[in-house]
Amino acid sequence: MIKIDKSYQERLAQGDIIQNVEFIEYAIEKAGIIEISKIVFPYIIVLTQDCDLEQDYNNRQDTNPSNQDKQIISVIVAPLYNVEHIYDGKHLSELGLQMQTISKNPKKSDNNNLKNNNTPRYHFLEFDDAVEIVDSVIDFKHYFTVNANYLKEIKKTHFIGKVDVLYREDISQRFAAFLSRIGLP
Amino acid sequence: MVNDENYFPEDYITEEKTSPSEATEEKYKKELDEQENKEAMKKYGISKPVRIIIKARIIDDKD
Repeated sequence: MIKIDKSYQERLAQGDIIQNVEFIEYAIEKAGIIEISKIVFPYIIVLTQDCDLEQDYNNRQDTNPSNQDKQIISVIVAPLYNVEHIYDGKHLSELGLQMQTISKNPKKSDNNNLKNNNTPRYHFLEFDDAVEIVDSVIDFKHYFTVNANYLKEIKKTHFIGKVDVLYREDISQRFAAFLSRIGLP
Repeated sequence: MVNDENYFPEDYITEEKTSPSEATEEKYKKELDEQENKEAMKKYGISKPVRIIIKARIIDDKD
């Protein structure tokens, strides 16, 4: 069971779980009409390295910085999906997408691999009942970035909690491994 | 540039959701307000990403 720290801190931190984060797919103007398409993700987890987030925050707080070298433009995040929806491959059904299914049977290897975090693409999170999220899965393949200022603002009202240091290191390492995997024919 | 935020008529901005049905949408909105109910989330599966499309007509100062 993953440990969550619910205490709020102003700066963004690696492992922050934030609610209802928007991802802008596109913004176009045609014949005097502006059209913006966005996806709202119920839950995301911050994956950007914590040291980068801390340096960004300190630099922005500094009233007389010598430069803005440590400021970051966007933050890497990944969505959390309800594990029950992941099993059926229906977690993106509202977007018209059917995903691969995973067995619900704990004796099957794909279910076992998911729950034990042996599937490189996914990271399973089992939450305590005190946390208002169902058991979830991070899909590393669906990572995206959001504007740092936007995320910092939305965190004020949409913060759920922060994954404890030890567990977030595991997530961070697995995400890095997933990104740097080598595809062999 | 028009600064009066009450200037824009009601039909200036439309928000069009591409979710499958209005029933699902209503259910999503209702459950979104009750997100602290973990059982409701499991039952209705509101924890799914949705796409929202916003359209807005540009108003020229000369209009």
